[in-house]
Amino acid sequence: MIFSAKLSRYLIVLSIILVASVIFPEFYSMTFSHSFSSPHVYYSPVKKIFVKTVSYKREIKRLDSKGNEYTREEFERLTPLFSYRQLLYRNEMPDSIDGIPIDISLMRLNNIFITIKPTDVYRYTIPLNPLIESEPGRPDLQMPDDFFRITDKIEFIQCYSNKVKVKLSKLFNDALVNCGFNFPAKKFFGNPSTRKPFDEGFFIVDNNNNLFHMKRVKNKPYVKKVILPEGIKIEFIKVMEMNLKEFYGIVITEDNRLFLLMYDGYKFVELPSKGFDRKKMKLVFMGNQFYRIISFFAKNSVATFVTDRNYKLIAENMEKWKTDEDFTVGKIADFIFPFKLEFTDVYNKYVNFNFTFSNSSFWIINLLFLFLLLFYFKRKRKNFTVSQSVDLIIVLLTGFYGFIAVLLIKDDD
Amino acid sequence: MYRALAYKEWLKIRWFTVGAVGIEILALLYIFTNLRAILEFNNVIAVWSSIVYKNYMFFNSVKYLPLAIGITISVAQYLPEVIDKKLKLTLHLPLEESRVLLFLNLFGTMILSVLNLLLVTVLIIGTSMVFPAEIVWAEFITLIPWVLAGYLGYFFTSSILIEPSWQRKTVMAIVGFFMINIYLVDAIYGAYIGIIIPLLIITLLYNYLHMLPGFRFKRGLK
Amino acid sequence: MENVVEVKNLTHYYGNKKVHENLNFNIKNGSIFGLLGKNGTGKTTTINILNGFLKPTSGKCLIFGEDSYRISPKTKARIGFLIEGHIQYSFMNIIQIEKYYSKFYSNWKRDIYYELMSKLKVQENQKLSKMSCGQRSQVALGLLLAQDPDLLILDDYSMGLDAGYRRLFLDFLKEYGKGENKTIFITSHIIQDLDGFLDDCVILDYNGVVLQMPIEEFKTKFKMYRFNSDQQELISKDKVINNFEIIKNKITVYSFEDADKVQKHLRDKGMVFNNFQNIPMDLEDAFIGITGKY
Repeated sequence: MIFSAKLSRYLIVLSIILVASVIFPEFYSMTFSHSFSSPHVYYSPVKKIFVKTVSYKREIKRLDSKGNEYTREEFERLTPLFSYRQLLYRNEMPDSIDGIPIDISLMRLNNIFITIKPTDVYRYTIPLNPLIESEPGRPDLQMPDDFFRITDKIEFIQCYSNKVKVKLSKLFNDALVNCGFNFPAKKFFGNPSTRKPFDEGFFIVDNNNNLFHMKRVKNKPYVKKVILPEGIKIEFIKVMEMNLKEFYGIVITEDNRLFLLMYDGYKFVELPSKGFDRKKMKLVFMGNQFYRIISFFAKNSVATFVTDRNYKLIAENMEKWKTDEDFTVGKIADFIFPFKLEFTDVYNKYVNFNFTFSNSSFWIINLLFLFLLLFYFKRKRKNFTVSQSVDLIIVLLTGFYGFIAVLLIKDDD
Repeated sequence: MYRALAYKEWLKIRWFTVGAVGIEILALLYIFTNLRAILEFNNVIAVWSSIVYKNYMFFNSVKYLPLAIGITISVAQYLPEVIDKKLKLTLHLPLEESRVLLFLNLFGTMILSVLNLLLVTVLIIGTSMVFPAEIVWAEFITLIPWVLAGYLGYFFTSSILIEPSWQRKTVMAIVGFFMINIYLVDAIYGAYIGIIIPLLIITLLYNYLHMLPGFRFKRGLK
Repeated sequence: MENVVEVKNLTHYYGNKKVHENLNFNIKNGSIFGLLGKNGTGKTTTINILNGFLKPTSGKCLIFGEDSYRISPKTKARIGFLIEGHIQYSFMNIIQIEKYYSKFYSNWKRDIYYELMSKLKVQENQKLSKMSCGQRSQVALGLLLAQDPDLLILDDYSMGLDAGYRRLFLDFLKEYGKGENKTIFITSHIIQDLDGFLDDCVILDYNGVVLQMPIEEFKTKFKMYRFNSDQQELISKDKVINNFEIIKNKITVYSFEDADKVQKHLRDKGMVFNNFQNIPMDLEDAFIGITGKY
């Protein structure tokens, strides 16, 4: 009975520590934390400088790297390709930039805005997808009446009946086999929506980490193997069908490199990826007639790279700002809480034990609680019992949390 | 002797078990008739899409059912023991006390397991008739933490009821609330896939949760 | 085994409040022992320690040689105990409850249980919760007698019972007590029924143990004297006078001393009195005499 009771006691103590490490830091954060918004960084084709909009005390400031401030109208004039609607409205749209005359529809065609967040990548996905007919013979795309899976073979499942379409599946399976596809498929990348100008099907990573492009053309398979650059392992592809038809989408590799997968012969064009951490940063890819602007947003920084249309790097910028951790509020938290536990994460859609350990000298505070407990024990009796020693160790390791746990559930010996 | 103990426990909870089966059947009926209507009156492809891409969970209404059942069975089992400290009668029986307490717990969890098995099995079978294996699997992974929450509800309720002191009852209630919440986070299909084994281990360990309260009850500790 | 129960230097505190200090008594095999005292004098604490649901702060309480708070299953089978209020599982009926308990005790005596049940006017499938207090007490008693334990611990058997059921209970208990090696431990605050039943007793008051002796000895040695006097202020509790009551000029004193010693003691105090009488007492009178009316 005593053994079970002791086991039970430690279960309860550990549970209190777990719960405390969730609710106290969260409560503290709810009470004291501030929001720090990241600036939006743009590259002006007019002046060839970086300009940014920053949220400052509930109003927006527009600055350049030297700190000069601009009014909203000045800012819009500096970024005509981005702010064309406002400029057109005020009749301030320039006729040409860098000698190239402005054509509004050409400009619209070239404007690109793609975002990839870690939560888009790091999440459980149900491995079923609809393969949209890419040549429907009508102006609008339509969803098919089947979803496909690729396990030891490809199967198209008729949605109404939940049964496999045997003939269609065999057709596609033969095409995959002929292309050297190794079953089962590991990852699927596509754009399963009909709200796009046309459809480019799916890019599929097979069991050997090779990449294949699969489309449904007049209900028949189109399968092509895509040659990957040396040593590349695909983590994620954001497929985006655009009338520009320059690239199929943005590729993120398992070693944090970035590529565009081009229409032209499935070439991989590398993008700047200095400092990019795919698991913790948001990627924003902006494009216009003249530039490609790639930004990586982290918790307290945004790095921006500008290339020309041939993907040659022409400018870089780094913005950093302070967040809670850099201020007293954060430093105190770091001090009191030896660690914090969260079950969800802003960077992924999984539920997991996410421990964040304080990097400051929380041992000092732990020792303080240890001594408090020592003092309390000494008042009760002269010598320490084994279980009290264990309690002291718990407090040494978990500080404040262990202290409350051990005092709330005192050993009854 | 343990068979007699099981008999007594069954006498306490039998109608609640029947009630739980009834509620489960009602819930299942609701889910599948609702699903039928959804499939009938909507584009089936749109339903599949909303499951795969928009996290539509047609079985969402059972999220808190295992928890409610766990708590109810525990109350049915332990409230009669705690009123007038009748647990003394059971602990006075010529049996090893820790074994008795563990047996009471085991009995309750066995009943819970039967109830949970019923719920999950019918859901899975029903789903597999209309949806492919990948969706059934995603549903199953999503159901597991909800079912485990039911066991936690049972363990914490038993512990709170048996525990003699009000201060500790409160502490356990608070801890139980937050621990159970971990199992019931609002999440997408399969979000728990990395943490299922640890949660399962924690749930198994919590079978011992009521032992300290039981010990304190026996020793007359406050 | 001479002593079925041994209480040695039992001290218990509820928080900072001292309930017992160095309580010592033994219960001999085959005896009928009473723990008497008003409510709030620590009877419940003693019973809880005895029945194993309270671990004493210090000291020992041994039952059949084992610490009362951790008795082995084998020994538990030899102990029957009645919880205050005749507490039993009220969701069962008399058939279910007998069937249930019978599985735990090898010497189960079914017949005596049903003999007792036949005296009750209850339906077979009537749940205990639907019975009266008195009927429930009979069920509890029946279960205990069927268990046929060597030590029977009864916490306030008389609670909530009217005279009829109290007598019935005692009748069966007396029968049981006549058996070989059957020891009974009873607490009660209704004393009159126990007269002629108890062998030994411990009496508690708010300060602790006030008396510990066999009943016969108590009844013979403890006396009540009555006399008239106008000097009420000279009367106080001392070595000779255990307790006293004053109504107008009628003074009643209780003492272990004989009449001569008491009268001498009064005169030594300078008291003038008359009409000195030795009044015979029953157990209840004696109990009140030693604990006081309040």
